[in-house]
Parts: sequence; C-alpha cells; structure tokens
Amino acid sequence: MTSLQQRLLAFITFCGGIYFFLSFILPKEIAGFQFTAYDEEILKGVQVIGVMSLGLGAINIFSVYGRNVIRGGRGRLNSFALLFGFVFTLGVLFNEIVQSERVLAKKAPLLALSLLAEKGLKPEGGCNAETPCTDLYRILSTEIERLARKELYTLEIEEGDEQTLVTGYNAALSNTLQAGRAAMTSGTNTGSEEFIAFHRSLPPLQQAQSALLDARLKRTTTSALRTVIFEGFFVPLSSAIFALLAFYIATAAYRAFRIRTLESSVMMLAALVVILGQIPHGPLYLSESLPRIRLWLLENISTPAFRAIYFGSTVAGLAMATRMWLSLGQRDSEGKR
Amino acid sequence: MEYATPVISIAIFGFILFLLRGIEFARKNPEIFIRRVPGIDAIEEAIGRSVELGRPIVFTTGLTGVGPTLFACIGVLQHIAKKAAIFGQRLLVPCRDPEVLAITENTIQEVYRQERKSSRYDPDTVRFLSSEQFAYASGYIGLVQRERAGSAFLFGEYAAESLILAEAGQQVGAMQVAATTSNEQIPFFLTTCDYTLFGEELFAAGAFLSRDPIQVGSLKVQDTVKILIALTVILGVIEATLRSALGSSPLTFIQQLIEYRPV
Repeated sequence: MTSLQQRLLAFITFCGGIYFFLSFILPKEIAGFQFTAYDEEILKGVQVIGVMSLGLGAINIFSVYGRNVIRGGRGRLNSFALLFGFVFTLGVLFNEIVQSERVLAKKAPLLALSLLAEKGLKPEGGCNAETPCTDLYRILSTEIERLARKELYTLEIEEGDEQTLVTGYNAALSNTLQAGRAAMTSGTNTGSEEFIAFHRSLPPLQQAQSALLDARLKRTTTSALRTVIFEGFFVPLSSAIFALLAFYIATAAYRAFRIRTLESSVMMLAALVVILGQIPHGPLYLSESLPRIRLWLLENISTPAFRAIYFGSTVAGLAMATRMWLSLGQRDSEGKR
Repeated sequence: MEYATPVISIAIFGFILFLLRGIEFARKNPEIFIRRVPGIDAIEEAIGRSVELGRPIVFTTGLTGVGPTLFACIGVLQHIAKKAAIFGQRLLVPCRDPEVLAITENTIQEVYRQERKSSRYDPDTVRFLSSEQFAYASGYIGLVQRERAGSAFLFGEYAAESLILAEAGQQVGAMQVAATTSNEQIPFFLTTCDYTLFGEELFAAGAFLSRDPIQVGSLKVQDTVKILIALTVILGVIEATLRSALGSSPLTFIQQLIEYRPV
C-alpha cells in the first residue's frame, strides 16, 4: 500500500470513528440538534460495506478449490464435491427465492385490499354517513367485483391441493364475497357496520390463501431439494460435528485431571467438589455442605479470576481500538511508519 | 444507545492522552522491560517445529469479526507470516468471515512483499471455509488432518467449536498455541493446547514479538490502567466495608460524581 493510500485510509478511519466516539461522549441533544439522528443511516452504510465483502468468500472458494480441481492436486475429489455442493445449493436457493417472490406477488393484492378497506374505517379518513368517501367506495366496489369474477385475488384449485385447505379457502372466499356485496348495497358510507364486517372477513381469507399457497410451494421440487440439503445434510452434519464435543470433552478431561503436579491436584479437587455439589439428590448427594462449597468456589474464586481477565482484555481492547482509530502503527509498503 | 457521563468522558480522554504519552515514552526509551510469557515464546518454538518437520503452519482467528481482537491477532499473524516467508514454510489461514479473509490476505501479501519474497506467496494460503460455525469447524478439521499441520495457532474469539478445533490439531500431533478473549473457552484450550494465552496476553503478544514502540508503549499504559482499576476495586471494597460497619459511607460522593449527568 502506498503512503497516499495509507493516509487516505487513516483519514477515512478517523472520520468513521469520530462519529461513534462523539455520539457516545456528547449529550443526546445539543441546542436542539440530535447528534444520533443519523445513526440508522450510518449503520446501514456500514452494513452495505459488510455485504460487499460477502462475494469475497465465494470468489475465494471458487479460486482455491477450483485451482485444486484443475491442477488435480491432493483432495481434488473433495474440492469438486465442495464446488458442486456450493453451486447446486446456490441454484436451489436462487430458484426458491424466485418462487417465493411469485407467491408473495399472489398474496399482495389481497393484502392491499385489506389495507384499502381499513382506510375507510379509520376516523382520520373522514368517512362517515355525513361525508362518505365516494372515491374509496368506487374503488372498493370495483375490487369486490373483481373478487367475484375470480380475477387477481382468487386461486384456481390444483390437483394435489389439500382438501381441508381448499374447503377453508372456499368458505373464507364465499364469506368475504357475501360481506362485500352486503357492504356495497348498504350505501356509500365506508365506515358502516357492513363495511366493518367486510373488513373483518378479509384476514381469514388472507390466511386461507396464504396457507394454500405455502402448501403448494412446499410441494415443488425446489422445496423438496432444499429440505434434502438443509434437513437431510446440513442439520445432521452440524449436529454430528457438535456431538463430537462429548467425546472430546472426555479425552480433554482425562488429560487435564491426571494428578501429576500440585496444580492439577488442586484443579482435580475443585472440579470434584463442583461436580458433586451440582448433584441435587440421589445416592451421590453426599453432604448438604457440598452445594454451599461449590457456590463459594464459583463466586469467590472463579468469578473474580474471570473478572480480572475481563478487565485486562477490555482495557487492552480499548487501547487497541484507540490505536486503530488514530491509525497508530500503520506502515507503508516499505515498512516505514 | 448508552451515553457517557461527564466523569466517564474525562476518563476516556485521560486514557487516550495517557496512551499517546506512553507511546511517546516508548519511542524515546526502546528498551522497556516486558515480562516474558511462556506462551509467546512458544510461538517461535512452534514455527521452528513446523519448519523442522516440513509440515505447514495453520493460523486461524476463529469466530473473530473485524475489531480490536482481530487486529491483535493480525499483529501475531504478521510475525508468523514473516517467519514463514523467510523459511519458505507453507502457511494456511482458514477463515470464517469474508471481511477477515480480505484483511488477512492483504496482511500476508504485504509481509511477503516487505520481506521481498512475493514469489513465494501461495494464493491458496488464506481460505474461506464457511460462515456457519460447525461447517467452519468441520472444514478446519479436514484441512488440519489432510495437510498434517506441524503447528496450529488458534487466536481470537471462539465458542463451542474451540475444543473441536484444538482436538483436530492434537490428533495430528501439531504443536498448538491458543490465545483467546473468550473466557468460557479458556479451560478447553488449557487442556488441549500446548500453550494458552488469555485475556490481555493476546493483545500483548504482538508487542512482545515485534518490540514495536507503539505496541510496547500501549502495553505499558494498559498495565498502569489495570493497576488503577485494581486500586479502584480495593477502594470499593473499603467503601462497602465502611458502609456495612458504619451504616453510611464517607465515600458515597464518589458514586454520585460518577453517576452525575447534567440536566
């Protein structure tokens, strides 16, 4: 990195750090100006920079393991399996995102209708018997007609749809249509009882539609592949790796608790007291004083020691953060400060 | 968001000024004494062992994200990469975080360039494994076992995977040095690794290895501040004892001063 690049980097780091530093030490508000008003925007900016680095991981995987496959190096089959798994999972997830977006697009009009109907019920909308919202009434009546004509909001029943979901959906649709027609014939007052009933009939229809669409999404090949990848491979493999801990703890404990020195003897004794003190009842509940000794050991020996370590690392972290913020210790390409 | 009280603000400013003064002092007095820590000495030993055996050096920062801990780890990585460049030893740095990947890759390339060994730099040195905790752990196990690491350095923040990573090195007979700020993982490293640094020792490692006046000065300031904190704790113990014995304490005003916020 050249000297100019280093200076630029130091300047940006200082500017980035000073905002958070000042927002911590200054009062929340100075002469009507809220210093932290832009927190959200700045944090979003930081997140954007973080997201940009995500691609770096993928590029690294392709270059490192791709090179190994091409070269025919050691473990090339593993590298190939990794790349294949990566591309395949990426493809499945991308396809699933596309399908989910389509489902969301199908759900959206009904949600919009619900929000529209809600608008007429709100007092700030000014819709009542004296001042009816004729525009809103007109739009709602058009939408209810479309609902009746099975445009946009309604779903054609497909082969494989679960009967209970179909029945529920049909019942909710029929209920909404009935309530909608009643509201339309009641007059242009969109705040009336009939409109309230119509508005209340929409959430069950939304839920029924959503359940039906979600069930259809789960029936797709993409969804099945995703289930195989995550529930069939990823979760069991992660659990298997985590389960290794049980065996490793046993071997680590064996190494640690072999009584060879005075320190390991003290550690063994303390561990024994803590383990026995943890037992609430049964044949290994040896004494009433053991849980008290255990608590004393944890509160008066273990906790202060951990706190001391915590203090040390916090002070060191603060010093390191200050050095980073002020770019102390950066070197250029020649190794000069 | 939390806000500092006036006393805390003054303390932070005081700390920064004290830090700058400490660095200046260390620049003028390069021979400042630093207590030797066996774990830091073991870093050289572990590199030497890898070179002797002709097996790669593995360095990982675990779950560490971008922050002070990572930069403390980078200080040690620079030293290890320098030795690897000089001796032509293979270095492997598996990563979990893409941001960390970019920083470590840049650091190692820079070290090789400074040592005029750019041609020896292997682009496969820094590897992204996975951002998922146990996928990363299994990737690490595979890497260490396949490459039969001669030495492994586990520096940074760790969680449940710490023992899995350390046991992988143990199984291939690698000499392992761990350094962590994750208190809960210290016992696992202590039982599995040859040497373990914890808490501020991780931050001190860079200063010890480089003898860089900035890092040494900073270390001295940290030690002094720690002594001040210890004195404050003792003062707190005295205050609590007095309050318990007398019913009220003559030091209550200190608490009021710390908690004071202007309206």
